[in-house]
Amino acid sequence: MHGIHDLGGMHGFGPIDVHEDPHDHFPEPWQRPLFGLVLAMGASGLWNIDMARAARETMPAADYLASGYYDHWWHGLVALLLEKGVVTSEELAAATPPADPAPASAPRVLHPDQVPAVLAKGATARREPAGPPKFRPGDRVRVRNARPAGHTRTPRYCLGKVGEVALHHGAFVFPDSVVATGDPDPQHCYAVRFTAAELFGPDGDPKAEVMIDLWAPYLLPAGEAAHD
Amino acid sequence: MDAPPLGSKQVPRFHDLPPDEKAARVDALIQLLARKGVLDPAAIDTIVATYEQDVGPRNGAHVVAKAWTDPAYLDWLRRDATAAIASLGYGGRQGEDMVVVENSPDRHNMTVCTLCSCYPWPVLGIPPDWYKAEPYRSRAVLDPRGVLAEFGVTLAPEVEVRVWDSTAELRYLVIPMRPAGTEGWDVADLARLVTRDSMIGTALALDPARLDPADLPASAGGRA
Repeated sequence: MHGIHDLGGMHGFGPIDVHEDPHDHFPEPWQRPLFGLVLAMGASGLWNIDMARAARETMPAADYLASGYYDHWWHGLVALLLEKGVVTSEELAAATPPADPAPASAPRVLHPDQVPAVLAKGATARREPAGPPKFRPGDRVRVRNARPAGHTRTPRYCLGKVGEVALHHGAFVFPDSVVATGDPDPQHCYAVRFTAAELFGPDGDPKAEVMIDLWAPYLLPAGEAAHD
Repeated sequence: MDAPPLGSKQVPRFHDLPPDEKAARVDALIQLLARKGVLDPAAIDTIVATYEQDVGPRNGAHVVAKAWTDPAYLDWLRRDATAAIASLGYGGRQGEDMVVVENSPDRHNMTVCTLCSCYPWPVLGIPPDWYKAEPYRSRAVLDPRGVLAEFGVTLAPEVEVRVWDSTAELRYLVIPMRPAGTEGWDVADLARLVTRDSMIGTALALDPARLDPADLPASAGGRA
């Protein structure tokens, strides 16, 4: 979906707040435990990072803009917990959590002694490709013009635009597939170079370019029409 | 898959609550998940402490300073940044697949995630608020020179700006240009010139000529 999270190229959000306190990541006290909670549940195996992003993107557009980053995290976490049946709306609505709620299960429960190793290892989305890469560095490509209702990672500002494959990164879990069906469906991923003029017309900086990481299914040879 | 589409269930009101009510909701959810057996609440403090105390931009500064002084290490970064960075002890969550991009007199690189907040955590820590907020995410790709000006950075008109929109699972680390006047400095002293923002690309490395002489390192003839 090309929802409100897809901000690249928009006007109207005002100046950048460059004066933040670099030592205070959590200006409001609730943000600190929420940060740890989201990472702990992210290690539970109940969902992957693509599903977590997709859940945040379901926040209603007006709420998204009227709220902060960790509000988006809360929304995504609760949406996933509800979807996976880990919690119920009734349990969430209770003023105090029930003393003996229905149990839930997760593939893993992260314990403190495991935290350093789990964070240091991470969870790469790199996978063995199903086939050879379709494109090579130097190839001219056009971004397929499409508006899928489900999760996708094409920024709206590059739809239909022509660029040049700059880097072939290898194959990675394909977000559109894994969110829609659970199938990791590994696809080749490329850094594609676009001139600012191609993306933004005469308002693009003539001495600027944008590199966008795009999976092969988002791309067509430049000579083909932008949609099927 | 029979699961309902994401967002089909109503998420209870949260974002417009006062902070103390948000804190109560977060605490209640932690208790609920613990009682259901899917969360060990003690893990939360360990996670937060990791990012508040151990993982931050000093890691990236070490990488950059070593790249400035060690051509073989820079070459390794260019070929396999993930392995080269891991050799210094930095890796893992949100830095599983790293790429370095090098500034030069002709080209300035900066990074953004227009869709969310993708950021190389093992080398830079938790992203700053502005990196995650709408003004930067919307304009970094459209008007990079204007964005840089808001950070107090003015590039010569002939310098090309290359913006990296990290829309996939690659995480980018900018290697800023090594400041003039740092010949002979060691890695630890050089790392003090490498700020977080210089590795995002919204700043340049610190100019030693503008440091207080008392802050100059011993390897530069200072008193520190």
